[in-house]
Amino acid sequence: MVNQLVARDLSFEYPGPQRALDGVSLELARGELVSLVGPNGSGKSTLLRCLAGLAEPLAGTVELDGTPLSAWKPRERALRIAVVPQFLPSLYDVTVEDFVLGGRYARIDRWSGPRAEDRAALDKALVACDALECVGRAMSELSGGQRQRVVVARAVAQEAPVLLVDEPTTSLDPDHQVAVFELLARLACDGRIVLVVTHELNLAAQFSASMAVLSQGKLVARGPVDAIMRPEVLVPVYGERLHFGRLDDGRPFVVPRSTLLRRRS
Amino acid sequence: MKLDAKDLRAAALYALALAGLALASTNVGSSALKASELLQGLGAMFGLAEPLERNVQAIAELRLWRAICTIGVGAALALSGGLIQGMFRNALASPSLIGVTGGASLGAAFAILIVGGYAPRLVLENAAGFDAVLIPLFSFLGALGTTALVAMIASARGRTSVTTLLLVGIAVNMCVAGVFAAIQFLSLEDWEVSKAILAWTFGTLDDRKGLHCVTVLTALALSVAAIPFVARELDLLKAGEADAQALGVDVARTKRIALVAAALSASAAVAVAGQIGFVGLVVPHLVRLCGAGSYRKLLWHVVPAGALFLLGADLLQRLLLGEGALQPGVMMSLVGGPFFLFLLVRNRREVSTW
Amino acid sequence: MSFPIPVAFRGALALALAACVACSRVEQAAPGGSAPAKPVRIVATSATAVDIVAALVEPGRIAGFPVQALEYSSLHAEPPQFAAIAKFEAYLAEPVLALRPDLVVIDPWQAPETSARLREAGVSVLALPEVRGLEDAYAALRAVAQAVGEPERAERLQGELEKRCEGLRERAAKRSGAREPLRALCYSNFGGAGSTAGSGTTVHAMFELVGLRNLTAERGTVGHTAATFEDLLALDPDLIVTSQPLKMGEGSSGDRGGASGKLLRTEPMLAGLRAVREDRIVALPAWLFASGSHELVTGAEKLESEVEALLARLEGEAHK
Repeated sequence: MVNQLVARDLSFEYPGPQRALDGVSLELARGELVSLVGPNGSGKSTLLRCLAGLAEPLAGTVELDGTPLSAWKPRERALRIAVVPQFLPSLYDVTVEDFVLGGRYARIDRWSGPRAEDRAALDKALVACDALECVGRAMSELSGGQRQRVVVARAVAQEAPVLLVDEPTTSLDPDHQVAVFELLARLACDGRIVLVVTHELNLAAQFSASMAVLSQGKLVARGPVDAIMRPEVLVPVYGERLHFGRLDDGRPFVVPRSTLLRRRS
Repeated sequence: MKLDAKDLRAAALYALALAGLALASTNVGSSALKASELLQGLGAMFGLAEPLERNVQAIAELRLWRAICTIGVGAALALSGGLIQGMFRNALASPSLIGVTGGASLGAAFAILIVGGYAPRLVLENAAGFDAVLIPLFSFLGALGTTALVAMIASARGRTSVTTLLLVGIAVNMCVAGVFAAIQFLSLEDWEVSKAILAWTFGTLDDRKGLHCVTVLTALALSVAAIPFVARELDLLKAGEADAQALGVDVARTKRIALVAAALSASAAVAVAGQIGFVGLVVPHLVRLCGAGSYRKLLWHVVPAGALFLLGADLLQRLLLGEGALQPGVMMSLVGGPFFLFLLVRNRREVSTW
Repeated sequence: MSFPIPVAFRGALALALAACVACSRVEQAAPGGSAPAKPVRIVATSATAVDIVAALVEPGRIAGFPVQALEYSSLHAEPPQFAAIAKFEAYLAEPVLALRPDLVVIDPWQAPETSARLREAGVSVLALPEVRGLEDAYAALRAVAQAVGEPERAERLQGELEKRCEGLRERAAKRSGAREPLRALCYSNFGGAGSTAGSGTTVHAMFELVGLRNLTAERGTVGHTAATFEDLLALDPDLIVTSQPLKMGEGSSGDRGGASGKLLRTEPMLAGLRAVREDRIVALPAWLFASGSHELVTGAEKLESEVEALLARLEGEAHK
């Protein structure tokens, strides 16, 4: 059981003039879904990779309950942190079971192979992610929605207390988008630390306990949904072509709107 | 890596097929040798029968060494190909990419120059009786050295990027090919030596003996021992290095082991039998076509499959062509090119740049 | 509408036109190559050609020969009267033309492009016939003699050679009267793969002159072919003939027969061969082993002396 994933003063640089991350500090707690939003190129994926221990920050630390991630071997880290990647190749000759079982890599012994508990975790994850129908097929044969559920199922099968998700709803229809967020919220409720990087501000607003906004490598806002879904926070980051409103139940929403069209009308 | 009844059955089938083909292969040769004589001669090698007349006994032994060597070379090349394809995440990769073939050619060419009398007398006298070892040894060192050079340059900044490895491999191959071409050119006037260098590049399974077999089988055994340490890892690498890393795979270690194992087995094969291409490319594909898509299965299957492939192809062409049989390297090039094309066309959707 | 041709393209076009004109001018200036009746600057471009030319003309008429000839031709002993003659590395138009030859004698396999350039430059080029045996060697001799204007000399030389061959055959007949002709095989292996020579080769011609049976030819092989250990073991010849590179000393028995001889003596798989057990491996100097000229008669004589020495030794051993 873990309680906190803490990043302090993270900096990261790619070759080029601009810093990808510039002194980012972020705390994530157990049991809440946190959404990380921000425009393209703001450093969201880089931050996620640093939080996952997959990229070594230029400066700063990432600690899980006080232990720096760099102290762990890849296998030990994978027991604690699961990542749902944004993009995967098509994987022609990989079956769904094999793929999801990949999430158990860190737990499966090299010599004895998968045990009953691994099979059980596989089944549980497939059920939890509503992906049982995909069993017996190759990864390349799945539809976009099925594929996304299977990828999340793999991370679930990993049974790691930290789940870092990179843009899970790209290329999904609205119904599947909602399904994925529902699943992530449920996983957070089960007592995990869940961070999701997304462009879907409204879904994030609906399902997250809190939101974090990244802009040009800096964390510019962090707080409850109501504090973030406001023009003062989002307009400086995303620009003016946004329309803010509230649903019947009072929850805030924001939709893109062309200033060009408004002027014309 | 648990063995179940199915695996054992497959292993038994492979062993049976290999033994049968090997025996059939020993029954083919340039001289007339009765099957009964052959069996007696082979039996005599294990103390089970009276040895034949000295020269006939030697013929029987040469034929067995040839068969065993073919098995070792086929298996080693196929395993190397499987490992390289896994590491490069590209089903069209082959051992020559990392400089094995080019380096081995260069080593062999140097050795042939020495054997051919280009080294100072002193070296020659010290190397007396060492000739038979010289060429395999040099080509082995050449292959391993070149691969090490490729790997070292490609991982100059602490980590080996597969793309860099590919590019460096091409560049180093070019350099090595340049030196090789220079040697070929300079020795052109000495037609015995230049013929020997050329003949080496065609690959040969003739005149092999115990030493060759031990060399290739030892390297093969070491590489096979590496399979459990990379098989699952290579499967996870199919989804990319970052993804595999996130699942807990030590990507750097996996690549290191796969590279060393691939280089070792391919180097030994090339050292023992000269350049035989396409086995490393084609056999993993045949195994995939037969349904072993995951590296956990593929890497085990390619070993016997590679042996069967080379042994079978070599036997078939010697039966069909008799005296006019081609050197194995030539045969493989003839078959391999069209097969490569076939693969490309067939797997069009998997080749993203098509 | 006129399409504007870029300046560079027009320039290139002009250059190409100029080059064409220049080319045709060269051709006009050099209408084929005909050698003078008695060429005085002869260049021989292969070991075989050097053998023949050196036998037919005074050293003063030879303008140059390839450095390899010092190893593989009758000039291997570097006779002093040839020392001053220019040598070139490779058969290329420039080094050959630099020698201002009026006749170039080449082997049939040598680069046809170079020969074409030489002919275009007005040099007479004589390609030797392919030599597969004694008659071909005589034909090559006569062809060169014709070109250098020394037919009488060639006739005299051929007469001498025929007499030497007759002597060889007579002695061979005498030997075969005393004992069965030796079953012989030529073998060379420099580490790539072993090879041997069947009928239609100069080695075969030498074997015939010395009265040796050529086992490779008896198997129906024409020309050079691969020879595996199995072939050697199955044939188990009485005598194996290898070549001896000049660079290696003759002396210690370990070196005799060069790389091939050493391989035969040290390879355990071949230890049962009669020729190995009884040390019946003889070596011909490389320049004779590979000779494509009338010098193959010299090669046969050298082979004969090796065979006689061997037979004498065997006889002596038999008496003991």
